[in-house]
Amino acid sequence: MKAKMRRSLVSGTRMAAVILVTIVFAFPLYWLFATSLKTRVQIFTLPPKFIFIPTLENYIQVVNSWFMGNLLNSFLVAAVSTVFSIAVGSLAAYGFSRHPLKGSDNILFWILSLRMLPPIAIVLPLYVLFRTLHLLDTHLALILIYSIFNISFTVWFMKGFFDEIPRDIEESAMLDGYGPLQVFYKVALPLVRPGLMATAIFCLIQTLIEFLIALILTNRIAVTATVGMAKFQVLGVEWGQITAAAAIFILPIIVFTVLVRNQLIRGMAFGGLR
Amino acid sequence: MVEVRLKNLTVKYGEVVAVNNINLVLEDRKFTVMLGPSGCGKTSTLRSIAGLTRPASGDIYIGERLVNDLYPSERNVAMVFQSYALYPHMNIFDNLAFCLRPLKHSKGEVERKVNDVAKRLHLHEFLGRYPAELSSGQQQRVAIGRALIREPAVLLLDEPLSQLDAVLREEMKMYIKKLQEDLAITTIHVTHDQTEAQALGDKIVVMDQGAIQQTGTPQEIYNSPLNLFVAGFIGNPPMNFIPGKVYREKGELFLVNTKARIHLSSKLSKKLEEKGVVGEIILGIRPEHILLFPTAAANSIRARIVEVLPQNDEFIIHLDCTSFSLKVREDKKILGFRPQIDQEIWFALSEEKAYVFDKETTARIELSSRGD
Repeated sequence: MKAKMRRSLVSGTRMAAVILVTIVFAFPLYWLFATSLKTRVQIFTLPPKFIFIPTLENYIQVVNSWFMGNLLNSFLVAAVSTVFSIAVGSLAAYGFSRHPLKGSDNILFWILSLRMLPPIAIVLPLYVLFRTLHLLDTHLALILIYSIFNISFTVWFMKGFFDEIPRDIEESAMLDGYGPLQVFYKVALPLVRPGLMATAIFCLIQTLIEFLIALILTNRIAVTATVGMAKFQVLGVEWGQITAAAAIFILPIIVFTVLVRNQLIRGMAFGGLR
Repeated sequence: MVEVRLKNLTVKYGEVVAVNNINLVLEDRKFTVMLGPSGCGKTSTLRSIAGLTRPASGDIYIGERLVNDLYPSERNVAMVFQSYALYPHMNIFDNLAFCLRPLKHSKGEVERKVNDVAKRLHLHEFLGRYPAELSSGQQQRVAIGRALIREPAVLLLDEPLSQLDAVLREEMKMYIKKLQEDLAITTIHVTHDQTEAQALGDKIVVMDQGAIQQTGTPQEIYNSPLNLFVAGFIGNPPMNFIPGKVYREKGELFLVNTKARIHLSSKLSKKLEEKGVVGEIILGIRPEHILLFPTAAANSIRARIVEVLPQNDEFIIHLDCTSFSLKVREDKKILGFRPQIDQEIWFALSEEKAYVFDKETTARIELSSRGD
C-alpha cells in the first residue's frame, strides 16, 4: 500500500506543479483579454476585478482606428519576408549541406551571428542607411531587414534537415538523369517539407512580434501592428484599447499555431535536436 | 552490353589514397565480384565507374567510350545502393517511373515498362504502396527494378545483400544470379562477404588497401591464392598460418619456430630445396587439410584443444600448439570421437595441400605440381 500511496502522492504533486506553472504562464494572456473587455474605470480599480460585466467599446474603438491598417502592414511584411527568406535560405542551406567548401564553417558561423545581433545595436545605423536610400517608412525597408534575420535562421535550420537526407537518394536521381536543380526540386525539397513548415512558422511569428526596428524605421505609412498598438494614448495610456488591439493581433497567430502544431512539433523534433 | 575497362585508376579523398593505380577489365556480360575488407577501395572503384566519385587520375572506358568527363546520367549505368535509396515520398509505381521521366517517354510507354519490370520482379501487387510499407526483400527488388528499368549497359551493385537476414540473403543470391544470366548484362557486384563472392561471381577481383591482390575464377582464388592476403581472406574458417624458419638437421628439413618443430615430409622438403627456399617462411594450411588423431601417430604433433564449435556435421576445433594456434575442420564421422576441451590431441598436416609464403613479400612460393 505504501508504494501505491507514494506514487499517487508524487503524481499529485506533479499535477499541482503543472497546474501552477500553467496558471503563471497563462495569467498574462487572461489578463490581456480581461482588460480588453473592461471599461476605463474597471481597469484601474483596486483590488483588481476578476469578475465584471464585459464591454466591447474598446474593440469598437480599435476597429475604427488606424490599427487595422497597421495589422495589414504587419501581416504583409511578415508574409513577404518569410516567403523570400525561405526561398533564398533553403537554396543556400542545400548548397552548404551538399557542397561544403573550405570556408563553409566560417561563413555559416557568420550567418548565425546575424541572428544573434541585438536589434538595438544596429537600429541607428540602419536609420541613417535607409534615410540615405530614401527607404524610410516603406514596407520594403522592413522586409529587407527582417529577411536578414529570417534568412539566417532558415539557413541554419534547413541545413540540419538537408543533412538528414541520405546522399544515396540524390545520387540515385543523378544516375537516373536529373540535373542538380531538379534533384533539389523533385527529391530533396519534398523530403524536408516538415522542416520547411516549421521554419516558415518560426519566421512568421518572429517577424510579426518585432517592435524596435519597426518603431525606428516607420512613421506613418508602413507602421506595423506592434508599433501601432502603442499609439493608443489619448488621455494617458489607453490600456483598454491597447489590450484590445493586442488581442486582435494575437488571436490569428494563436489560431494559426494551434492549427499547425503537429507540423511544428514534427519539424522541431526532426531538426532542432541536431 | 559492354565491357568496362579501368586504366591506371587512382581515387583519393584528400590525402588518403583509396584506389591506387589499378588496371582492370570487367568483361562483357559477365558477373564480376569485387571482394575485399572495408576500406580496400572496392566501393570507390564502383562509384568512379558510376560517375559519383571523381578519380584523381586514370581512364574509365565503358564500351568504346571514354567516360571520365561524363555525368552519371550520361554513362548509361545503373546502380543498386546498399540502402536501396528508394524515394520515400513516392509510391512504388512512381519510384520505378521516376527513372524514365528524363528520357521523355510517352505516358503509355512509361506505364508499360513499369508493369513489365514489376511483373518480372513480382512487384505488381505493391505498385500503389510506399517504400516504408514494404519488407526489406521487397524494397530490394524495387531497387533492382529501378536499376534495370532503364535498360542500362552496366549494372552496379553496392553490397546489396548486406541488409538482409540470412534466409533472404540466400534467396536473393540465387535471384540475382539468375537475373543476370537471363539478362546477360555486364554486372559488377561489390561485397566483403567471400561466400557471396564465390557463389555469384564468374570472376572475382580481390582488393586490399587500394590495390588488386588477385583476379580469377572462384576456384582459382581458392586453390591458388597468390599471396598471404588472398589466402587468408577466402575460406571459412580462414587458412592457418604457421610462421617459422626452414632448418636442416641431419639431412631432414624442419619448420622451426619458438616452441615447435614440424618435420617436413621428404616430398615437401625436396620441393623447397628445388626452389632454394631457406630461412623464414610462412606455412599455410587450410582447416580442412589437417588430420587429427586421438593418440600419437607417425609424424604428428601434440596440441591441446581449446574450443569446439559444432557446425552441421562437422566440428570446428581450435587447437593450441604453444607457439601457434590452429583451427581445424573435421567431419564428425571421420573423427570418430567426441573432442573435449583441454583434451590432448595429435595433428598432422596434409602436406601436399600446404602453401608456402615468403615472409618478406607475402607472395606465395610456387611449388611445382600442385595438382588442382
